Amino acid sequence: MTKNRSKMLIIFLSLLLIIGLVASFISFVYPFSINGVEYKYTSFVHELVLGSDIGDGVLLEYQANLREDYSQNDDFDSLMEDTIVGLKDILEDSGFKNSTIVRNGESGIRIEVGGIVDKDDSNEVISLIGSPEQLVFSSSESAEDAFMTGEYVSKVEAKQISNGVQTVYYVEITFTDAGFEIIKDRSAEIIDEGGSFYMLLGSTQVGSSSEAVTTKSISMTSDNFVDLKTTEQYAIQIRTGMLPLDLVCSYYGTISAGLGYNSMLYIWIVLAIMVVASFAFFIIRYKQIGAMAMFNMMFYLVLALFFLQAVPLVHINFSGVLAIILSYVIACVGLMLTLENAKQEYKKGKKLHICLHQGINNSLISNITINVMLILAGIVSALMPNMAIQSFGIVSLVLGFINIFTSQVLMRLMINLYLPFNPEDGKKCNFIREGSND
Amino acid sequence: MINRDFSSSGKQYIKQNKFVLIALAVVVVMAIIMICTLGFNAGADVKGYRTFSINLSSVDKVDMSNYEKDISLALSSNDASLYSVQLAGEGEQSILIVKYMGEIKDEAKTNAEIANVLQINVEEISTHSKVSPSILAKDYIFTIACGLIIIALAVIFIAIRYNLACAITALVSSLLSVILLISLTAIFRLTVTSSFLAINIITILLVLCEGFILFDGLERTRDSLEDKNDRSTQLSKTLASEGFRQKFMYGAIFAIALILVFIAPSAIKRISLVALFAIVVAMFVTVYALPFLWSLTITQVSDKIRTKKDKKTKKAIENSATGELNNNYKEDQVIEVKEDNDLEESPSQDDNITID
Repeated sequence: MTKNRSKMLIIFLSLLLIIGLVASFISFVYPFSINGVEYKYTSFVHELVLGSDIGDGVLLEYQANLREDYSQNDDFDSLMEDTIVGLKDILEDSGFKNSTIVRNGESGIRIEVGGIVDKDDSNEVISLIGSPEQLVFSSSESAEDAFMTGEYVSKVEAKQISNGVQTVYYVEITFTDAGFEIIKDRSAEIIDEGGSFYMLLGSTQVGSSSEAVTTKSISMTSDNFVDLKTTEQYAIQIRTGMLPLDLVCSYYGTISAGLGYNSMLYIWIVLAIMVVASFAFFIIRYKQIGAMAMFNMMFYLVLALFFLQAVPLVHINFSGVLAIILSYVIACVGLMLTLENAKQEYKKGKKLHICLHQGINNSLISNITINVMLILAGIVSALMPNMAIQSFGIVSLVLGFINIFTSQVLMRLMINLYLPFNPEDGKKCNFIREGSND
Repeated sequence: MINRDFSSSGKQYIKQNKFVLIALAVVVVMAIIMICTLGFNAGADVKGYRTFSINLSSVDKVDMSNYEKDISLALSSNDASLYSVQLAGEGEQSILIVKYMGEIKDEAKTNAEIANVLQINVEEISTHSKVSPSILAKDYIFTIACGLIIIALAVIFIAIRYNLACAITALVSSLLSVILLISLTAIFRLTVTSSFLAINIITILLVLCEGFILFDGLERTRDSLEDKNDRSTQLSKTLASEGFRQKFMYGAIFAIALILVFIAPSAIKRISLVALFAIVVAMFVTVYALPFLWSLTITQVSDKIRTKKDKKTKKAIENSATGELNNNYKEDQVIEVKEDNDLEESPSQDDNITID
């Protein structure tokens, strides 16, 4: 590579980096509006989905009550457990995977949902669960004539069917074996008498049919089902009615991080110290080539932030932060392996450009192996149901790939860009020959 | 892969670092005793916690950092420790949610103290309630499974890429790191939270990564040295040569955890403290245990292979002497002996193979 070409490429990469850094850290309102509507750009940092332990979220507190039809023999503790599991499933299926649901006192349930990026999300969580009431199937529009409860429903799913021209959205309700026997008989009787059967949540009607049930699954359609999202919301509303306890919302609102107020601020401070210290280290220990390594690490940061906010499954809780720290240190160690190897080769009397290329080649296998291990560990951890381990896994997985790219591809480019300016003088990189007094 | 150079450098390293064997034995025995006898200090998400809320509608300006300090003091004087303080709601609707560990005997007295330091009416403080843990038993099982799968994958990879001795070293080292971390957690009453599970996986990863760098470095050193007589000395040096990089890596993570211990809120402080210990464990295992275990395993494995070969060769020679073998078989044996000789360029006294 010629000096001029190298200079041009460095200028181009610097501009790219500046744009990347601005896009990563600065949110702004676009200086123009379309049809009078102002649009806002949100930086990668602000788009990161944070867990409820380190980021703000939504708090919902419920009081759980036994339903009239449950006998005194029912174990309240196990009903509470089933309700908590049901709520967790509902939130996870709705995309709020970062939730903590715990029993609060004797009959309270506390839900903290993290990963709330804006006010719309918090409103969605609040309206999603609402104040669930029991799902019943009734022979009239009143719950008093109910012949079956949601206990006999095994699955409620939002589905769509398309004939290429038109898409129809519907909710499919699947009954348990016992539930199917009940509804088959009762619906046939009701229809024979010329009536309809109704589906109610508490006292609110959510559906009706004038046909007898003959299959284990029934489909519900509505003019309100305009897309899959609205259909899913409807399905979830029905699912809340299948919870074994009635829930009354006693408090809802936004809440600060679970690990303490302003947790993320402290984490940002530490991450900033880590980054600045690593930059200082590279420049002090390897001078000019250290500056190129620093340039490389800046690209790493931009890429890491971009992918952490862009990959849909990424949510960062404290374990995810630990994964970020581990991956960053591994990335620095990868560069150190390269530069220390080059230093050793230079000591033996080889020329600088040979040393730098040998340095990166010698560290290739170690670097790739370590990061493949990080990726494998990430995949295994990401498949685990525990939220903390999952966050750790997904973050490690994403950053493992970025590590490989920056340590092997980008660093190679950095070395090639640097060599036209200094092909021989090792002192400028703090490299010393064996036996030298310098 | 296992040849004379590795074996003799291993022996050399063991000779120079005999104290590691004693230290390892003592540490492992102590660790197992501690794990079996001492209990664990379970964190809020593992054991559950107690909570109460404070209505802040009468407060003009919410000062979270001072509130946290004052509430922490009030709780600690009543045999409880603060886990976290969260601000919920906005403006006049805002409430403070306090989570703490331990059980308070006199709730009214504690509430009065807190109301006094926060300068609010005691009526603004709700009754305390117990909150269930958010980590379930299955989470532990899955995490153990996760750790074991990671170790198994790494061990299989190392066995294929390097050799069996390296794989055994990686396996023992990673298990050792987990045992040590768990025992230190028990000894120092560190808090076990959901992040503790992730910290264990990080420790395993650090140890395995160091293993990769060590095994790769050893192979490269052996292949790059032309002077074969100097190989074992150089390899022995390589075993202890990653000093600067290791110091940098562990120093960096240690410093990060230390900063968090000093500046972060109490819940993060607890997790960071565990991370500090995890780094110490990973450092001990990678700096001392890993090269030592490799030396120990490599000498054992290569000795066993050599003993097997010796026996086989002797048997073949005996058979050929009694004339029980046909000519083709004799030729095979001769080739095998020749290959062995090629591999072992600098035979030492203890490896004499008699082919009379």
